[in-house]
Amino acid sequence: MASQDKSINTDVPEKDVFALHFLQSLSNLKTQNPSNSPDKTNDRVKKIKMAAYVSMARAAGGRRLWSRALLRRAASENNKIVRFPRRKRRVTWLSRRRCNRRAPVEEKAADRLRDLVPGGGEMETSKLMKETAHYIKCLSMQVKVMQCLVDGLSPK
Amino acid sequence: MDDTSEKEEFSAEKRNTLNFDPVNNQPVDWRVSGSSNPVSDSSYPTENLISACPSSCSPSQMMESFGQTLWYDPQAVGYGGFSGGNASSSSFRGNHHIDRSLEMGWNLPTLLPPKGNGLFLPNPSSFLPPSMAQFPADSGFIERAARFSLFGDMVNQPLVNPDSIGLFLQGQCPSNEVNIGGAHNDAMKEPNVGGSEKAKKPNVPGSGNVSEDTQSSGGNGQRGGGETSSKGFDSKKRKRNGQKSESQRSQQSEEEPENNNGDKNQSPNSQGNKTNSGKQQGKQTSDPKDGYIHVRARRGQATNSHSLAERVRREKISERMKFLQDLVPGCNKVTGKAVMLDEIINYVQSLQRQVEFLSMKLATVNPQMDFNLEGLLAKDALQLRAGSSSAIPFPQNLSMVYPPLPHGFMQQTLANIGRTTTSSPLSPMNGGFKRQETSGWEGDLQNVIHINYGAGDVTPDPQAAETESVPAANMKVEP
Repeated sequence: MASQDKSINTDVPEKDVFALHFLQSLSNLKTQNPSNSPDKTNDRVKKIKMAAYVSMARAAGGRRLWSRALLRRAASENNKIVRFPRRKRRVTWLSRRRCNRRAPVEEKAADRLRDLVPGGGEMETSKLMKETAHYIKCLSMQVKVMQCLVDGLSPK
Repeated sequence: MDDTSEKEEFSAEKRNTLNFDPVNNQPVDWRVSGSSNPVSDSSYPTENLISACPSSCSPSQMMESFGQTLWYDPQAVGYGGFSGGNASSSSFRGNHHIDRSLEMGWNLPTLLPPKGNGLFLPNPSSFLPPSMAQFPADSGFIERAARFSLFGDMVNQPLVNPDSIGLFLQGQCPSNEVNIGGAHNDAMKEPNVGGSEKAKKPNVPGSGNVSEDTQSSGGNGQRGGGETSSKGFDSKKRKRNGQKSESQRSQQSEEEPENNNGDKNQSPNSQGNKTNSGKQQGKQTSDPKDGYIHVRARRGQATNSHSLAERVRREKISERMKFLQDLVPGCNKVTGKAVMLDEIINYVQSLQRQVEFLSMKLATVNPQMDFNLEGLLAKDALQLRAGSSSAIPFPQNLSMVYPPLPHGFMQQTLANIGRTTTSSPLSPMNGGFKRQETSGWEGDLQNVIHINYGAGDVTPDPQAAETESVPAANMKVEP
C-alpha cells in the first residue's frame, strides 16, 4: 500500500484550506458584485459555482492537471482576457486513436470521464485515473465544505 | 604407435580418461571413435560404471591410460585442439589454484611419458594460438570459472561423492591422487571453456563434443555415476546438468522467444550458447536495476515492445482503478472495468451536481449573504470549530494554522480575506477601485466584527479584536 501511495499520490489538503479558499472567493464575489446591484439568481448561481470550483482548484494547488485546467478556464471566463493563451489541442495519440479505432467499452467510459474531469481531454487514460482520484477527493471535500456553509446559513 | 589399435584396446579406459582428462575436450577423434563404437550413448554410463572399478582399483592402469591419451592426443588433434583445455587450465591455475597447479606441475611430468610431459608443461602463451592468449587475461572468464559449481566442489570436496573419494584415496598413492586431482581440475575447466566461451571460439570441436556427450548421458549420471566413473566426468555431468537446469529455469521464468529459439536447436554449439545466455540472463535478473521497469511476459503473452508497453499501461490503469475503487463508495462490489468506470462517472457527476445544488442554495441565500456573509463566515468558522454543524468536525487544524484563541482566529481569517480580496489577481475590479474597496471592506469588516461579536457568544472583547484586526488588514493591504 505504501508503494501504491507513493505512485498514486493523491494527498488532499485539509478541509479548512478548502473552506478558507471558498470563503475567500465568496467574499471576492461579494466585492465584485456590490450588494446593491442584484443579479439574476442564475448568474449568481453560476458565479458561486465557479467560485466553488476555482477555490477548490486553488486549494488543490497548481500541480494537478485538473486544477490547472479549471483555473485556466475560470480565468478566461472571468477576465474575458485570455491570461494563459490557450494552446491548440495537440493531436496526440489519444485523439488520433479516438478517431481511428473502435474503442472498447472501457475507452468509451473513459472518454465520458474525460468530459467530466476538467482538463481530462488531453490526458491519457492512466493519467486520467490519477487525476480523477484526486479530483474526486477534492470535490467531495468541497461538497462537505459547502454543505457546512449551507447548514450554517440556513437557520438564519 | 598405432592410434587406432590403441584406441580399440583402451576404448573403455579412454572414455574414462576422457572424463579425467584435461586433454580430452579436444578430440575430434574421440568423437569419431565414439560414433564408430557399437556402444551407443545411452549405454555409455553403464560402460563407465564397469570400467570405473578397474580404474579406481588399479591406479597404474589408469595412469597408463591417462598417459596414453596425453601421449597421442596431441598428435591426433594437434595443438589447436589441445590448447583450449590447456589454456583454460593455465589461466585457472594461475589465478585460483596455485597449489594444485604446482602439484600438477611436478607430479605430472614424472608420471607421464616425456612427450606428454613436453606437451603439458610449456607456457601456454608460447604455443597457444593467438586467439587463445586472451583467456588468461579474460577476467570475465576467470570470474565465471570461479563461480563454477564444479570449482566449488573441487575446492571443498574434490569429489562429488564422498564414498568415491574414499575409494580413490584409499586405493591410490599420493602422486596418483594428485594427478587425478589435476586431471579433475582440468576436466572441470573444460566444460567451462566449452560452454561459456563458445562464442569466442565456436570452431573448437572438443567442447561441443564433450557437452553433447555429457548431456546425452546426463540423465542417469546423477545417481550412480559419482561412485562408478571418474570424478571428472561425473562432476562434469553434474555441472552440465546444473547449468542446463539453471538455463531452463531462467527460460521458464523469462520465456523470451529468442530463448525458445535456442531451446529448439539441439546442435552442441547452440547448446553452448544457450547455456551461456541462460546463465547471463539469470545474472541479469538477479542484478537490481533501478532505472528500468521490469516487465515479465507470462506464458503465451506477446513479447514485442509494443505489446509489452501496452501491458504495462493496462496494468497501471487497473492499479489506479483499484485506487479509485477505494475512493468511490459502493464501487467495491462491482467487478469489471466498464461498470466500475460507470460507477466512478456517476459519482463524479453526483458530486458535481451536489456542488451545483449547494451553490444554488447559497445563491438563494445570497441576498442575506450580502450583509451577513461575514457573520456567516464567523459563524461557520465557529460552528466548524465546534464541530456542531457537520458530521466531520472541523478542526483543531484551524487552531493550529491560526493562533489558538477563538477571536484571534476570526480576526485573522477576516483579515486574511480582506487582504486576499483586495490584492487578489483574479478580481478584475481591483485595479481602479482598490482604495475605495479597501476602505469599504474595512468598514465592512469593522461592522462585521461588531455585529459578530455583538451577536457572538465567544468573544469577550470586541474592541481589542477590532484594534487588533483592522490595522493588520491595513498593513497587508497598503503595499
